Amino acid sequence: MANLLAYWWRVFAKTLSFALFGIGALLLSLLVFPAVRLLVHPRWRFRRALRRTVSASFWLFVWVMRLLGLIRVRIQSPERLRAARGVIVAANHPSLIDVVILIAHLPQADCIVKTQLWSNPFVRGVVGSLYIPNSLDFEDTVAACAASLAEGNSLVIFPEGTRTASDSAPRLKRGSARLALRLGCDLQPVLIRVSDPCGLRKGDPLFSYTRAGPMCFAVQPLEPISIRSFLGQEPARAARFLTREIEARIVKLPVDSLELEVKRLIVSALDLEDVKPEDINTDDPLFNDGLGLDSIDALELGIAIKKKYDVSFTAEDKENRKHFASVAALASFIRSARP
Amino acid sequence: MTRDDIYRKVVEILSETFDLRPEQVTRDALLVQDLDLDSIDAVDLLVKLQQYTNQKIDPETFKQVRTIDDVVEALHRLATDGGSQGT
Repeated sequence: MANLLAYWWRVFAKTLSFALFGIGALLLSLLVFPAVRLLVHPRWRFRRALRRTVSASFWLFVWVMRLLGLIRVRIQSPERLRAARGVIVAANHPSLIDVVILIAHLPQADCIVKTQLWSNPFVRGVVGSLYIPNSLDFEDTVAACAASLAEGNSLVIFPEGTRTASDSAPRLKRGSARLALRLGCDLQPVLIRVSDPCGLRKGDPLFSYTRAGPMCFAVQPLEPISIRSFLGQEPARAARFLTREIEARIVKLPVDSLELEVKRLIVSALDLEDVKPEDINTDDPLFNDGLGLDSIDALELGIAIKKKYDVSFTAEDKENRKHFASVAALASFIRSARP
Repeated sequence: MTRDDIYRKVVEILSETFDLRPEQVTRDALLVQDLDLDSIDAVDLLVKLQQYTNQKIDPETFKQVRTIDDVVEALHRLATDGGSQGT
């Protein structure tokens, strides 16, 4: 019953969020942008003010979605995003709202956006005033991006070119590397991990709803990539090397790093001397015939997890048994329960 | 210049420019699917081929090119009839 209620709440909240986004975008382009245009001169300052406005609006929208219980967002080292100016921000693209979460934390962001949005009645006012369509040919894109970086913007690009398909490992296109090489600008890679982006993935119907709890976004701006060492060689080759560098950061990073953390925690909290974290299978049962833990171990592990991740277990034995079934179950519980 | 000469040169250009192993550049290799060239690479390739042939290559004639063999054939035609008209 409680589950069903929670499900219908999400249906309501997601539909409401879409409506808010559409109305918000219209208000921005019809009321807010013209007002800013009247008040702020000259042109470059006015455009910077618009970007700040969009960033603040997206931040508000993310806050509303969090309040509605739809998503949880954790940004690691947000200062890297705040400091991103004159660089290309290259992120992987697991969900529909990646760009919203990113721009909410990038004060002055430009973005290469798919051209279809120029004919979307809700958002075309915003994208048309600020962003770069992805249908320009390469030279025009270079020119538009150079002008934008000169304004001190960061340039958000999803090198996958589209959202990650749920059934295959993402492949990066080389356009962002080519741009960075031509513009001579550094890259700020951002790894976005989502617990269960069901309903926001590529190919998902717009109004489909997850049965699991809130989606958990972990956004991780990684060590920036300096362009210097890639310059001065054949651009087509350099673009391949650079793309591999980006790929190594935002695609090939192990998605199960939380699982690995939990394994390490099991070994350290329970002083398992002859077990290595890597030896524990993510899906194997922890008790009895699996790893052979007992109820006292469970208690100890529970305390360690509570301390490390700031999550609490319910008093309900049946629920807890489910959470402690395997490393995978523990990790997914931590993802859904941590603040 | 025979087709074999052209093919050897094309292999050389492609492996140097795009970091490919020469044995990947077979005659029936597809530029996009097998060798993973994109539209920006295609422009680079055209420039390299123009330097090699010392002739202007009309990008339109290159639009139909799919495989390495197509590239060789296009260059051969260019060399024999000056590339003014394709047949």
